[in-house]
Amino acid sequence: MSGYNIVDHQMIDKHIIFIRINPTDIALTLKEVFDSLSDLAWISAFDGHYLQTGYKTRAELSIAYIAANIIGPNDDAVTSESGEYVVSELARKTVVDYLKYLHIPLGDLIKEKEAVNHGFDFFSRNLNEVLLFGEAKYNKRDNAYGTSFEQIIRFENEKRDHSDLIDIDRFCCENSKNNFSKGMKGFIAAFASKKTSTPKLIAGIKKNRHFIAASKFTEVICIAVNI
Amino acid sequence: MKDVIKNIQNNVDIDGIFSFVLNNLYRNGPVSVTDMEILTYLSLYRPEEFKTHKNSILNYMAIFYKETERNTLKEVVFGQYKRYIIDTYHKSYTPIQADIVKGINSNKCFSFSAPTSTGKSHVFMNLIHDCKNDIVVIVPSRALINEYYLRLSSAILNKEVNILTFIDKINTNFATKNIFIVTPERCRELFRQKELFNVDLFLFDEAQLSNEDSKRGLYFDSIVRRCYKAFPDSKFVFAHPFVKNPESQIEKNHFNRESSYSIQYTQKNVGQMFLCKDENWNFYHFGIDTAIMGARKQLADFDPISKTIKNGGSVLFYVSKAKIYKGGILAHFSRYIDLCPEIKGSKIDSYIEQLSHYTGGETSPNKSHYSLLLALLKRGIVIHHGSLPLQTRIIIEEFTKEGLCRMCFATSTLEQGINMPFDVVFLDRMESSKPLSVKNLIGRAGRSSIDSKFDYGYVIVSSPSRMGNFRSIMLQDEILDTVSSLEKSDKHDEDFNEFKEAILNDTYSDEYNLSEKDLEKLTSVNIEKIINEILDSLFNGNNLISLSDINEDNIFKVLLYGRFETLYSIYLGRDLERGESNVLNTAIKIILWKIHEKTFKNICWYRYAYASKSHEREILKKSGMSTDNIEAAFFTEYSDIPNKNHPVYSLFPIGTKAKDVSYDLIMYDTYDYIDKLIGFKLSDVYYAALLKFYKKNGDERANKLAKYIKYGTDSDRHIWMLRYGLTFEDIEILDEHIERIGSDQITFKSSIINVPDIQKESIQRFLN
Repeated sequence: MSGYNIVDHQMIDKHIIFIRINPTDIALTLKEVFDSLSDLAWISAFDGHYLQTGYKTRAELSIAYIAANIIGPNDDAVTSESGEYVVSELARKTVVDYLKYLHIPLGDLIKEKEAVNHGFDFFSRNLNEVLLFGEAKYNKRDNAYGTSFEQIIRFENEKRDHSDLIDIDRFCCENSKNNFSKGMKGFIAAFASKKTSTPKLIAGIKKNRHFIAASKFTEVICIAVNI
Repeated sequence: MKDVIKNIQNNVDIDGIFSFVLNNLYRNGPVSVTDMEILTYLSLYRPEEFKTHKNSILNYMAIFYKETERNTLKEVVFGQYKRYIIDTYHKSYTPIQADIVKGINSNKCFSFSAPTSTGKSHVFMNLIHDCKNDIVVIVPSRALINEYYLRLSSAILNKEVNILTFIDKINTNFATKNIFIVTPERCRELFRQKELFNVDLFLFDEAQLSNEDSKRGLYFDSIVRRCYKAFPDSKFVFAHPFVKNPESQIEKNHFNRESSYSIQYTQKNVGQMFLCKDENWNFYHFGIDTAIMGARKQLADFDPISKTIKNGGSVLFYVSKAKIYKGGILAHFSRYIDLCPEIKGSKIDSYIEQLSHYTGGETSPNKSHYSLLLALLKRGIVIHHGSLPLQTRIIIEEFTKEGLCRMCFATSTLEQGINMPFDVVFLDRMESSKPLSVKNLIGRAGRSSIDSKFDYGYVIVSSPSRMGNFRSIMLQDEILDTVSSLEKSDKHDEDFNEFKEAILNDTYSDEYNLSEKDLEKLTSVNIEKIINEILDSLFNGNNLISLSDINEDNIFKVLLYGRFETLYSIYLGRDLERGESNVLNTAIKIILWKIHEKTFKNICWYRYAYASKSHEREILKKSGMSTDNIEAAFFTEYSDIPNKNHPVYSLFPIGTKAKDVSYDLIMYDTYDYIDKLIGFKLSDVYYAALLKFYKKNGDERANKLAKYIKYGTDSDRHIWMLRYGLTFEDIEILDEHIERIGSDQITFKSSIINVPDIQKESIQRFLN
């Protein structure tokens, strides 16, 4: 079960892809993220008994609540942040499953001791061995591509893609790193999309100045998640 | 990540530092000294940014007794675990506390170590509360007995539970369960009456005592083994601070490994920041891990001690006993002492009154019994060391717990006393030879609160040159021996070797606290002759002669003292050297005062009057003459005997003016004699000799004197009262309201209703 359906796939330009997806099981996606985050927390290693006996039912309750509230009326901080995780994870899965790009776990799950500034949310490598840096944004009311592209450009300016390289180093081949050092890199803007039609959405994206700025990179992928 | 202290101070890469430390905290927990340092610096220097991360930090630390929100999925991971703990243990435990409970519940023997602020006492209190049958708590010092006693007494109000600081079977008509809080030495009484008790749990707290290369360490191990042998179905728990290998208790005492478990917890609940000061009292930050925190010390633009005192916090100064005794603390720390004006109010007056009543000291410098200890206490300044009378310590510790202490000057004995944290720990000295003690003191820096904030404390070393040594102590693992001294073949002195032999051969007498060989010596013909002479001198018929009878005839007095000394010499198997003889003579004098029911205060006054020649000075004063030329009398200071090499010297060196004799020093010295020499050594020897003599010859005078020496009274009724935990002060008030007392219960007269509650505290549990 992938937890989503592809509902649109277009080329905005020869190096710019637009994909739109429909989540089919938010709870499943969230659970995968939540399980991975739980595995990383020190208490999981500290108390094996908890994982065996106490974790599952409680996690299901937490996830059910969060899943129900991402699209529900409540807007507490946990659910907004969860929304961003869902967008990240679904976008990441889309490039891996659908485009057959490299599987690299979510950024939060792979950060190592020497991590510095908070960087991109997820990563991949395309079939031409170009590294891709993904930024996910969730907004309850509006299409969130604007904030996603804004952050991509800001992070690129602040060279956070360079510092993220430390974290994803073990997933990258030499060629992709060489390409990166020559400036060959791409970005993935993942964002929550609302009821706006795809043509209208693409028209809006094309006008966005941060998108225009991002267009100069080797590859750009826009992933709209209907959430 | 490098130069973190400098970067935080200079506001460089703060996001990166937060990201680094949050990531570590989430994955590893609050186990790294460096992570906790970083959080402390961020909290101090970047409070605004800290605020935005505070919730995550508190969640990731899993200090679930603090109220936090869950705003992120990662926080939910911890929130969920918190709920699991509450559902499982019905308490808001931290993961460590919950794991301790689990460790105890699932093993017959559980040994663990944990940093100072883990909250293990809270777990123990609940555990003791929930036990169905008897519990024995074994701690290394009487100060800790007292601390447990107070906590348990207030936590367990059920009158069917006896809480006792000796092993005894009392209140049998009502008690369904006993909680004994004892030292290893007092625990021996358990074995003589083991069929009377059903012990569910033995709890050995501060169990690192077993590592002491002394008779106490040896004795500790022997008690552990005897408990295991006598109560094989009981549960055994060993708790230590900071020890790397808590499994040593299981190994060295041969517990069944299949039903035993050990673990070292390193999670911390509070942050710490480390500083040094230079000779101009400038303060500098330094880190433990120089690669991350920076190799150079960084100037701090504030004085953490003044800041803490002004903000109503508390500071612990770890100093040498000599600095306390010689008054060095006053000169050296005057800048902080001056920040503490006298505290007004009935609370503090009540504490001073209690102390004054017990010690006989006074707070006015014009008074002859002027006590610096008391005068400083009025300003919220506490002095704490091993020679502080236990009763005084109890009062001072309550004073400290009530939040009245601003500063505390303490020696390392504090680790066995006040179990409370401070905002600042200042290490005026650092004994590399006692790393565990130093670590224990360092662990006191940082008060853990239930407030929704990150708690931290400062640790300060007295000179930049000590940074290296400090880092080594912090990084050093404390390893306990895995082989007991009982099994080692290395030889100590004769006393130790004999003791060990008696323990191993099971010939050590629980009744007398002496070895079989000792008892043989104390029943020799020569001893009997001396005892007869002592009894003939001290008794007129069946009654003790008065002190004035003893004192008015100097020759008689010298002869009497000589007989006590001879008895001790026979026990020792040799004559005493001059230095030893002086110490023993002083001890005998104190024993005689105690036999004649002189209080601690009285004894201090007598000794002070002698040392300061107060009578002589008074006469001169009255005739208008100066007393400046009068020198203090020769005054033998307490020292441990036997020790052939102990020199002859006076506590007050030649040239000390009589008027400058310190009342505090006399008080401390008197307590040392009573506690360390008489209490721990001489009373066992004299008691055994006299009781053996009584048992053989039926001389009632010997029985009487033996009881006086052991209990301070020969009244069986009063001895029962002591066994129920009453003090002589309590007896003075409550005796007249007691109809009858015995092992079954205390029957009170109806007049007990009229006694104010505060005076009934000691018997509240027995009022049915």
